[in-house]
Amino acid sequence: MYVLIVGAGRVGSSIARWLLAGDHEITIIDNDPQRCSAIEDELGGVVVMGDATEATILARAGASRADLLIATTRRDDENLVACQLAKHRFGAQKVVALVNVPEHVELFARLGIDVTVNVTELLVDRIQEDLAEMMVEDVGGF
Amino acid sequence: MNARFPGAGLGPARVVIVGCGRTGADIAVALSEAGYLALILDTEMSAFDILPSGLIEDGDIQPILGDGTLESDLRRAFAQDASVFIAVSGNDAANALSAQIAHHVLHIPKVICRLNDLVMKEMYEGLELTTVSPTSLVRDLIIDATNG
Repeated sequence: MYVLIVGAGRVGSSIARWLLAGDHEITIIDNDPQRCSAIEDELGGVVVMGDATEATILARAGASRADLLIATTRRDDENLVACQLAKHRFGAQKVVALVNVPEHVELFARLGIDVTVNVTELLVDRIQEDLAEMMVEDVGGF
Repeated sequence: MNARFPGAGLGPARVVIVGCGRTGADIAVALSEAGYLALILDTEMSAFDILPSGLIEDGDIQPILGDGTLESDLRRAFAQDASVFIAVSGNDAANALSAQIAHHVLHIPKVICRLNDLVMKEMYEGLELTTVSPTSLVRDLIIDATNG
């Protein structure tokens, strides 16, 4: 599978490693030179530096043959636009977006984003689980 | 002149403007003079400094501190009751998100989105948004001037 990953932060780079380990082909797009060179040092020539909300950058990253685009930046607007361009201009099969603001989840789904990952909800659920465990342990200690 | 809600009867028609830069501020002034109540959002309090204080004091322009890419902030500005929505921040992606919330979630009758990027402009025109591009406006004017 050929996968475009938008954002070379912790989420994007972890997904990149995982996909490469599974023998998939990837390109990561990020507009930060430092993050780009760090990824290049680690994973080789899989980086396109630039703004993934610009069609020229998506084209350079090979969006027209991408099976999947995963947008992982902290900005919901950029994740949405990158996904919409990939889908409507380049015919990407599937697009996945991290959604940082929970109230955007429903809109993104309605706008044709195939998979939305509600980051905030995941974190809150996890913290609540851990807290619940801690509270049980505390009670048990007495 | 006083633009009114179709059917609403009372009060001036509302226009919600996202982004209080030079363009947003100019539009707010022009539309308030045309009889609209102009609600203008920005995430920076200092952005409102360029608005004429007289129009704010008279209540013709209402500055609202808020994020135009958030439905909750837009509802706080009563955007759901607006007849016109204009996204004119300096950021194309933010404008595209705001305008799609206004159109698909708040169902505002007229939604206008400023986009500098011409590929985005063409795509969102195809996705039911009305877009305006300074880039193509300037290009067309220069071509006209060249030919004229």
